[in-house]
Amino acid sequence: MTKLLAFLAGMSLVLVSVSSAQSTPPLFPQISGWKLTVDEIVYTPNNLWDVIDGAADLFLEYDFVDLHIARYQQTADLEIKVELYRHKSAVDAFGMYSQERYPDYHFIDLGTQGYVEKGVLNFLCGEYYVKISTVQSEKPAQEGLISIAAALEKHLNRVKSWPGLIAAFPSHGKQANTEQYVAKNFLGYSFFSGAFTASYNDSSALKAFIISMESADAARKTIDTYLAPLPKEGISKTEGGRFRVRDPHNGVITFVLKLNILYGVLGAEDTTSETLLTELGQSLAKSQ
Amino acid sequence: MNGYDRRHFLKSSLLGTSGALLATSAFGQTPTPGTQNPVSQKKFITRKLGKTGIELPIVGFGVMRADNPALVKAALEAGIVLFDTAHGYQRGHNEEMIGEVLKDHKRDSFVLATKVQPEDRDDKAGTLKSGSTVKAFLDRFDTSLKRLKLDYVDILYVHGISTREAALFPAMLEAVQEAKKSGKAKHVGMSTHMNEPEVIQAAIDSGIYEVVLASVNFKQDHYVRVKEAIAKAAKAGIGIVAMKTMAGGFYDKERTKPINCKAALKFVLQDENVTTAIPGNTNFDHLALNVSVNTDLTMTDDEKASLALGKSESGLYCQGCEHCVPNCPRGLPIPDIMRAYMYTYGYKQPEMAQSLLRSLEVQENPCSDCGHCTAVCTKGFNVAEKIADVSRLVNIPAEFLS
Repeated sequence: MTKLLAFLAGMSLVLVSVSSAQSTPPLFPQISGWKLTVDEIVYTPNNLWDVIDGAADLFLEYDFVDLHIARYQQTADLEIKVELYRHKSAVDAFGMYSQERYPDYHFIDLGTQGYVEKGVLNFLCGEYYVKISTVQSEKPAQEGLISIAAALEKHLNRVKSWPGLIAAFPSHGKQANTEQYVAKNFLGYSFFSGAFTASYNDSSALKAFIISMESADAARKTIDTYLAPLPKEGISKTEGGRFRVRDPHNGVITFVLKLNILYGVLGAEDTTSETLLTELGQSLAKSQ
Repeated sequence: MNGYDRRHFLKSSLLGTSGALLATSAFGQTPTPGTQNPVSQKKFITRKLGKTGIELPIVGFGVMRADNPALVKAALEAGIVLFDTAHGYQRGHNEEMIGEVLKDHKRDSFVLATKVQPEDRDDKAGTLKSGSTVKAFLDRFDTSLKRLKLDYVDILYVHGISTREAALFPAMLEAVQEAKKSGKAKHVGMSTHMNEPEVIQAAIDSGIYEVVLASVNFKQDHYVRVKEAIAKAAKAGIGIVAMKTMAGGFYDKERTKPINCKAALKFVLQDENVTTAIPGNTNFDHLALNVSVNTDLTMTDDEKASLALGKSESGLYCQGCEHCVPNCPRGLPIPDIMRAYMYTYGYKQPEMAQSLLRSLEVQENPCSDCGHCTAVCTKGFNVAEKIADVSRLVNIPAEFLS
């Protein structure tokens, strides 16, 4: 026992690893009728390119932690691959999921949300973005996707609610399943990060956005940084603290800064944006 | 980038209207659109892409990380010509976004490359399987064309090739030839970010691929071999497009020390056999920085120093070069033990490391009776220290690890 304690005391880094391993349950459940094989390689931010090539870059923007892969085989012809992308937080996982989601997918009640296509089933489950796929296309393969996904959802056992500020978007006029989370470089600016967005009025161009910044002071400084190089004639501030900015890259943006919350609308130059901005402000006030 | 720089770039973007860039043809002997910097009027450095007849500015745009059409528009206005995407990026959103922007531009004002991944792969072996058919590949490619709103792409790559066997997989060779014959792809190639020298050699041997999109960066342990392969490809008339020039963006595994991206980009482009590079631009600052390299490849002393510093930073993990193995008097399987080290500290899977060490029959601290370690690591690892550290796992009761 003494030897073991001495060993553990002298191996602090491994202790961190052991602790991490202990807090993480076995990721892949055994499923009756399927032979489970877990890949030995676990992909990290340093080698994710090895498995998904250039697509890895976007995952890294969303604080990707690691990727575990397993295969479930039922028959010689039917193998289903499961990829568990773990992100730092549920918001990050949602962000990556939202970057790959189309509003017209066939959505299913799985995890926070999932969708199924021929040979593919993807779903969001807490900090996990789960991708399940097979090259087979017959009915047993599709059924296999769903049964494995259901077992995995139960096994991971994560909270199913939407993360972050998604609930704060007004429902009136909102296009279903268009909410996104942009972790970094929102609107192409390095100082805007952590933006939630949603599309409105049957137009992918009309978007509402919300950014929660660290503090009111940090938010003011960020806005100053944004406005400083813009032509003065393109900036107006109206009653109620509304800014209307003609952004040279992103068109007209109307926004309000309320303490540490920046919310706004882009993609419309008429009164549509003003109306949506008002509704967004009201919705945010209710949600806080 | 400071406020002045952003102001300058905003101004340049506004001035650099796309119309001004469309006066000439993108190909052949005539000047390429975008070869003239819209603001400074400094001429862009251009190079020929193998035997394709395409001449490109040395910096293009890898769009994989950009979800903002305004960035692509700004890049066009700043004179970028080559845009690189893939069928799989964002499940198609990336190609759609680019297509929406490019539909407003003349077809000969840009060069568009996309990549299609074979459907059925053995990721571990890097080989292709029977499900990677001609039809599946071409169906995916047709989907890409629809998303891009284009009748053809300038370059179609087979995506993510890492072995000679995959590079010469008959169905893929047939598929890209069919795509070219149909006019839907003007030129064909493949992309690789592993075993690049082997894949580049296979491209030469194929007699079919015209372009290779390859990882090239200053941190590659095998950079010399990559460079030699690129030289052979260039001699054979194959165009080389460099990616991953930023080497992951950080010097350290913990991602706390950012790489000097401009220096890293310039480093790769010093090799004139590299036609162009496609750094990712995630914001207007990155874009301005990368565009500036199009007019000036000279490396400053600071840039040289930053890369030298970066090269001296050894990563945590063994690259498996095996140079150390012959020098170990005990004949230890050092790369395998280093893999166990990676499992422990990188993957946080000590039980996996223990399993590997036990299968190798490694004893606790097997180097203890060696006075001086002669197994010198090319990356500068202290081999003996790491072996002593990780080998202690072999005697830990398994229940403490899982």
